[in-house]
Amino acid sequence: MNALYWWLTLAVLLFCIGAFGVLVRRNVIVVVMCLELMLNAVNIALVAISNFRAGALGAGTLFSLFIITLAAAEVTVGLAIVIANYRNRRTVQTDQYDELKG
Amino acid sequence: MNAGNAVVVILPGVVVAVGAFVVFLVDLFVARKAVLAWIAAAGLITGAAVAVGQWISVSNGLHFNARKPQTGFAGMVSLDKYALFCVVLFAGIGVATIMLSDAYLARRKAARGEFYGLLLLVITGMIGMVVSTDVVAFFVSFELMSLPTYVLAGYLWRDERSGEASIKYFVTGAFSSAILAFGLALVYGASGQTTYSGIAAGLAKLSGLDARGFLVVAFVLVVTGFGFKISAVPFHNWAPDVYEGAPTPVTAFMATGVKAAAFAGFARLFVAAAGLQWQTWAHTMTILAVLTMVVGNVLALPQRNLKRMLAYSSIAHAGYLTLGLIAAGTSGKPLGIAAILFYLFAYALMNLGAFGVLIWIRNRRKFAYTLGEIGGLARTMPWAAILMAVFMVSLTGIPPTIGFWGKFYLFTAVVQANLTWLAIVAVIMSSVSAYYYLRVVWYMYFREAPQGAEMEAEPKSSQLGVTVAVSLAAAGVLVVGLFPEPLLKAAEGAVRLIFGG
Repeated sequence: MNALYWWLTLAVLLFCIGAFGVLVRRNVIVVVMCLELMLNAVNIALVAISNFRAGALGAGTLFSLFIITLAAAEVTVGLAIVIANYRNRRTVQTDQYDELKG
Repeated sequence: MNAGNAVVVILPGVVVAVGAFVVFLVDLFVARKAVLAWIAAAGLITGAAVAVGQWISVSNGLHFNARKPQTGFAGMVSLDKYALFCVVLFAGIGVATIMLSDAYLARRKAARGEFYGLLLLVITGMIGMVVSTDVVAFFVSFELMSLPTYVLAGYLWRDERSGEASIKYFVTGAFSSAILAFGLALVYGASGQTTYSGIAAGLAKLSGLDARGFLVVAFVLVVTGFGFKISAVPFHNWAPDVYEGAPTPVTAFMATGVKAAAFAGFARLFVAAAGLQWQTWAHTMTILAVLTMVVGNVLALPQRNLKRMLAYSSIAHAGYLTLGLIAAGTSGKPLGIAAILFYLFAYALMNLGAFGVLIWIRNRRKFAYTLGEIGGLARTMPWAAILMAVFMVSLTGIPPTIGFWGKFYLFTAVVQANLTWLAIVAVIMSSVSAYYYLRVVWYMYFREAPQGAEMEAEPKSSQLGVTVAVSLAAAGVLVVGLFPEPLLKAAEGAVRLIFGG
C-alpha cells in the first residue's frame, strides 16, 4: 500500500460520484457540475501518477493542464447550450426535453 | 527537430485552422454570407492539396524518409500516409457538407459566418486526431472535434428540436470524453509514457496479474469513450435523437466526418499503442460489435422517419467498421485497418448522398423527412429518386456499388483473422438491412405522392450546390464500385507506412 494507491482511490471515488450524478440528476446545471467533477478526478489521478512516476514535472502534469483548459472550454459551450434551451422552454430539467423520441 | 519542421508535419491542419479564422474575420465585414462558404471551401481544398503534395513527397522520399515517418513536437504528431489519406477524406467530406448547407441555411434564414468557421474547426480537430501520436495531443484534438459539433447540432437553436439535440449531444459527449480521459490517464499510469511508441514499450514491460487487471480497466474505459463517439450499442441512445434534431447538413457531417475521424484516430491509438495487448480491448470490442450490428439493424426496421432510419443505419455501419479493428488486433495484420479506411470513404459517399437527397427535397417543398412523404418521388423529382436509389443499393451492399466492395474487404479481413463466425453475423445482419433500405426505393417508385407534396416554385437560393454534391457522390459510388482497385491500393499504402508491414 503506497501513497499512489490512496490518491488513485480518491480519484476513482470522485469520478464515480461525478458519473453517478450525471446519470441520476435531472437538473442540467447539476449535470454540468458533475461532469466537471469527473474531469477533476482525472486531473488528480494524472498528477498523482505523474508525481509517482516521473516527479512533479512529468507528462501527466502536462496532460492535467490541458484537461483544465478543456474543461473550461467545455463548460463555456455547455452553459451556452443550456441557456439557449432555457430560452426556448423555460426549464433546465432534462426529463422535460422530450421532443425527440421514437 | 526544429519548430519549422514540426509545423510542416501539421501543415494541412494549420491551413484548415487558418481558414476557420479567416472565415470568422471576414464574417465581420461582408453582408453576403455566400462568400464565406467559398472561403471555407477554399481553405479545405488548400489543406487537401497540401496533403496530396505531402503524400507524393512521402512516397518518393524526396524530402522525407519513407520508412521512418516524420515526427514533430517531441513525437506528439507524425506525418505519414495514414494521416494524409484521412486528411484528404475529411476535407472532401467538409467541402461536400458546405455544398449541402448553403441553400439549406439560406432557406432557413440562418446563413451566418460561424457555421462555416465552426465546421472548419471541427475538421481541424479531426485532422489532429489522425496526426496525433501522443495521448495528450489526441485528447486535445478529440475535444477540438467535439466541442464545435455540440454547437453545430444546436445551430438552429430557436427550433426546439435543434436545441434539444444539442443538449443531449453535449451531455453524452462530455460524459464520454471524461470517461475517455480517465482511461487515458490509467494507460499513462500503466506505461509511464504518453507517446504511442512509449506506451507500446511501457506496456510490453508490464507483467503480473495486477498489472493486467489494471490495463483491462483502462482499456474498457477507453473503449467506452470510443463507443460513445461512434454510437456503438449500448452507448447509442443519443444518436437517433441528435441525428433527427440537428440541422440535416450537420447530421450528414456528424454521421460521416466525426465518425470517420473517431474510427481513424482510435484505430491508430489501439493498434500503434496497444497492438500487442489486443486481448485487453478486442474482446470488449467484439461484444460491442455484435450488439451494435444486431441492435442497429433491428431497430432501423420500424423507423418511418428517414433521418432516424439513417441514424440507426449509421449505428449498424459502426458495428461493421468495428470488425476491421478487431480483425487488425487479432491477426496483427494491417488489412483490417486498410479495409476500415476504404469503408470510411465508401460510407462517406453513400451517406452524404442520402442526406443530400433529403436536403434537396427539403429545399423544394414542405418535408418532415417521413417515409410516406417520399412516395411518388420518381415522378415529381426523377433525378433525385434515381440517385437516392443508387445510395440505398450501395448502403445495402449490392454490387456494382462501392458499398459492396467496402463490406467485401472488411469481411475478408475478418475471415483472414480466423473470426469467420463474426463475418457470418455481419452478412446476416446486412441482409436484414436490405429491408429498410430498399423500402425507401419501393416508396419512391411504387407509391403515390401524398397530399400537399406539390413542388414550390424554384426558390431564390440556388440548388446548384446540393445537386452537384449529390451527383458527384453518386458518380463516386458507381465509379469506385466498378474500379475499386486504385482506392484500395491507396488505403493499403497508407496503412503499410504506419505499421511498417
